[in-house]
Amino acid sequence: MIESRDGRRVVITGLGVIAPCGTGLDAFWAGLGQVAEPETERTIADFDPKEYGLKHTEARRMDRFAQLAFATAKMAIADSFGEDGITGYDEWKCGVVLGTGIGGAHAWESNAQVLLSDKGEKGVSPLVVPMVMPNAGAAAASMRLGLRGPVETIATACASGTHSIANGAKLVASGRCDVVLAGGSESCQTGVMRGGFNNMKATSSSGVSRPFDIERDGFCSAEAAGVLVLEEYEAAKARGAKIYAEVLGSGSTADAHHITAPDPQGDGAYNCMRLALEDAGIEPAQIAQVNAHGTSTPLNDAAESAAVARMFGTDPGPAMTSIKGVTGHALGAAGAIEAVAVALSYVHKQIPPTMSTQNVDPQIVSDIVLQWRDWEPTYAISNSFAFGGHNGSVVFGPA
Amino acid sequence: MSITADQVRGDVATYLQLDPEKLTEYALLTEDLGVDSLTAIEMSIELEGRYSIDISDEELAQVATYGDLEKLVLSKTGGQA
Repeated sequence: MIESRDGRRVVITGLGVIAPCGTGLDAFWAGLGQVAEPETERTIADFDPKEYGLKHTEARRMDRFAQLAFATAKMAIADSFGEDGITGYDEWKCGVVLGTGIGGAHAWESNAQVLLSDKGEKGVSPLVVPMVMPNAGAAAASMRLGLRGPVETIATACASGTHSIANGAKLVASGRCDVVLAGGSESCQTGVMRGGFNNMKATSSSGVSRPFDIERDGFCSAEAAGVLVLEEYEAAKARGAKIYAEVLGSGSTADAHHITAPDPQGDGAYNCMRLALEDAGIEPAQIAQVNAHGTSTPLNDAAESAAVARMFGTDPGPAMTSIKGVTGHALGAAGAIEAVAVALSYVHKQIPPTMSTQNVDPQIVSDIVLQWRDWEPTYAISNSFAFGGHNGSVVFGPA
Repeated sequence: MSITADQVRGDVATYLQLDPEKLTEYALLTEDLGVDSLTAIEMSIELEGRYSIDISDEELAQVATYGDLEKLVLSKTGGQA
């Protein structure tokens, strides 16, 4: 009863994305085929909150991840409804589910420096609490865009974006919401985070993200934000909305294995995909595209590929791509910008390549997409796996 | 340190990203200048640091207009209006 769908279908009617490889849908899509500069940290060079209507005094009280979340949400709403924003819906049934892995990392770090300086506690900004809180991104989107239904944040590290889309879709499917902005944002390129990632040997020393490659040596951290407008299908159709794709179902499991390493058997990942397919009512053989988590770490890519092979077979199995070869790993935004890439693959009828990957590891038995590949859009699955052992999968289909 | 009213006006205008001409004696911080409670506290911390002064919560609570703020800062710095 509690998840009763009453036949309600969920479709994507708007997209927003800001990433190191491009801001906006066209630049982002084109950027997915450009070789990225070798950089262990990939940041957005040209982001200006003023361009999204944030005054200096407003931007100053939002950490960068929240600025990115708001800007991307605004972009997605404009893509779906136009510049005037959401119309024709009850504001109490318009929600936000935006994930982040870390939250306001820059504010934490700068205020910690103040705390440890001569100024001490007295110098700490009165704005630090609403700046560091992980829900600040969702709150900013809600407050400035007037969404008054459920406004929530999911923090499951690198699975946050995918879990947010999954849970946002459930809100629409169940009838609690008619419209949900779902996705994630991240900006945590700070000394503490950099030191932590580098010292645990998770990041690439070469600065090249090359998922599934024999020479892969870790991920490249990135800041980014991605937002999907999820809407009930009949209402979207009735208002003449453009429809990118349908969100058919999702899975969520945990490895219960290790805080940072994936279960090498890939049981958690396999069962996550299995449950997502069951939720969607889709057979494994119907999946033609896997948008992989594909971080370019030795452990993730091997475990993920094994789970995908077990789920879908290898004769030939679905096409598998990882956009992280370009985007790097945007942690809590990763699943969100990857869902944007999947949605755009329905428009362009192409699957983006796994950039910077030249020699696929012989251990990887999946069909890795190395060049732009044409596809007749059918069914796709997007995976995210996270520190903490969290797994998330979302299944997409043509609307 | 002795500062002038023009310096205070310039610093506050820069902080709030406003035209200094808007900072008139009777301009209400909240209604006219868009300074909410959090921004007021943040701005007072900024001014304390800049001029090496202390502004108590009680003093800040008495500030309604830009003129009030300017007088308060000048009184603490020995500056001239």
